[in-house]
Amino acid sequence: MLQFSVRRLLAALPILLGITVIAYFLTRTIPGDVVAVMLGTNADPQVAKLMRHNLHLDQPVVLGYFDWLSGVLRGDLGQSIRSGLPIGQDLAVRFGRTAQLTVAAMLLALALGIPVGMIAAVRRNRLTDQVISIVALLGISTPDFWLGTLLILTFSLQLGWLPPAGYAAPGDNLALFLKLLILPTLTLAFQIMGIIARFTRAAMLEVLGQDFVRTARAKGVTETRVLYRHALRNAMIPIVTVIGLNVGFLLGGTVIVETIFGWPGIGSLALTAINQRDYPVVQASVMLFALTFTVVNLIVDLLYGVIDVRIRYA
Amino acid sequence: MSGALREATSRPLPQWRRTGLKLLRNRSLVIGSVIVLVMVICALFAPWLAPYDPSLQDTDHTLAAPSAHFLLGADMFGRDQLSRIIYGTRLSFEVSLVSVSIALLLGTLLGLIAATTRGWLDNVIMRLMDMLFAFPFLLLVLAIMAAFGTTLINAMIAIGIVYTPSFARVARASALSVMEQGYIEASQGLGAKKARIVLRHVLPNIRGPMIIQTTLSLAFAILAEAALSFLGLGAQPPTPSWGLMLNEGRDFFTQASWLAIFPGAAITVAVLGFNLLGDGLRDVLDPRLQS
Repeated sequence: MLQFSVRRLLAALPILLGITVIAYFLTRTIPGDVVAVMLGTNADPQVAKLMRHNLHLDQPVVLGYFDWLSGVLRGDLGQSIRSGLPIGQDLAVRFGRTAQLTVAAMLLALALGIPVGMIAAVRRNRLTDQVISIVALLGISTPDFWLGTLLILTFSLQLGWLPPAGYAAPGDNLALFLKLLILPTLTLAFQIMGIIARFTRAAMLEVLGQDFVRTARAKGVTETRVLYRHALRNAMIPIVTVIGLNVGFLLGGTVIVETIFGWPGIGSLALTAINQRDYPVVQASVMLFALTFTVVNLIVDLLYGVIDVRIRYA
Repeated sequence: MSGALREATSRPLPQWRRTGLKLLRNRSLVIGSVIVLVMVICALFAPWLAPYDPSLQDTDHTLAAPSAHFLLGADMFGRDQLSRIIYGTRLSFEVSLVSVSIALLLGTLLGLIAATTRGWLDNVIMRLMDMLFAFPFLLLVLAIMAAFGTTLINAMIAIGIVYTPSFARVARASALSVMEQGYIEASQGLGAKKARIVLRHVLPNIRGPMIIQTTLSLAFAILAEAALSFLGLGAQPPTPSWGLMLNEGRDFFTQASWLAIFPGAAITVAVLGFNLLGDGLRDVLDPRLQS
């Protein structure tokens, strides 16, 4: 297991490095003089020069990258052009809030998507299966920004049951935090739930047709045990893979969902930074998203070894 | 006995009719095709189908509720929503077709190069694709547009780049399995050049998976365009775009809920149509699912 883990970790290193390259160069290609845009054309040349230096803009691009990277590795993500504050601290606080939202959404999507997908597989081609498949497909097809808007209109503005937007730290006001969490979580979870339900159904159908399931039934194992112990365990690999890949989907979704619901996480930060051309913040947040995705998928890779022992030695 | 006799004497259905029946029996495929077809008709014949000019401002009827006059209501400028939604199909198609074509061409090319050369080039291409894949797609589109400017053309290019890795992966995986086949070896044995093998044998045989991937990507590209326009980074007013309509009507949703409901429903139905079509095509084209 150790050797397997180390091999996977080493394979991820070039990808992590590549992510920093893309994040850096993408934002360095912004056309026009960023400093002139920021300070206005008749700014003090002394100030402009200092700002250029702080942003590594007075260096060749490649040197700037290595300077920036060495800062990143030491935990220094630079400063926001807009607020002048260091990015790292703000990003850490916001990362926590985004994690609260995405973890809640993923848990909800798993809690609903896996059982519902299993039911659909067991009741294949019956009415239950058809209803579930249609709802799952609707989940994939409904735009999150529309769903979020409709939820706010219905549950906040019409019925007045829940606050429309905002954030409260769970330590300060747990009840309010939970109330504020409901709508954005539903919005984020609906899409992922659809994807997970569809994959669970497909994976279960494949497994349920195999010989070992028939053998288990024939030797008198109860149906629940057949489904959970024999079938689901073997269907877990594709399901876990899909969960890992959809973390990227979920993180991308936070950009819109956090903006609609006023949730002060990284998604809304990234969008504001892009709109304001605050590119050190864009660099840092885009990179953090990609790193999170890569790390989650690395964990998924390692989970394969736990779920299916054969993979460790492959 | 008479049954067996009839079976023996009746001629089998011709191939095209059997295929046609199989296609018609696939409900996803039929419903998906109908939705997509209706969209194509709307996009092509918008000027004839729309009851009003989409930018005509009828100031006497601002925020008019759905009625016989304005079937889906009017917006805050008194523009007919139905007409704007019909015209909106054009933009949706334009953006999704262009961006998915970029992804299809670029992805297939990269995937085929990777699959046929193997070795270090394969490694470089696919690791690059992995890196692109690691960025949440909407965020990468936004970042590309922030770098190059928020125009519709850039939106199409950005969506195209972001979807390239999926196409490259599908093309490479399918090409690798095709190249294991006996006819490739036979062709090599006959002395065919690599380029000829790829163009004549590999490319036609990865058609199925590429068609499925294209259809499903069209669904996501429509979503992406709508999301960008909703955020104010795609289509600009007064272009009729579904996402932009939701953005513009935001302040009036409580008084005029139809401004929130119909453009979003249009996006959902369009995306649903392509997803159904993709699902149906997968059932028909993927030999592993034939049972």
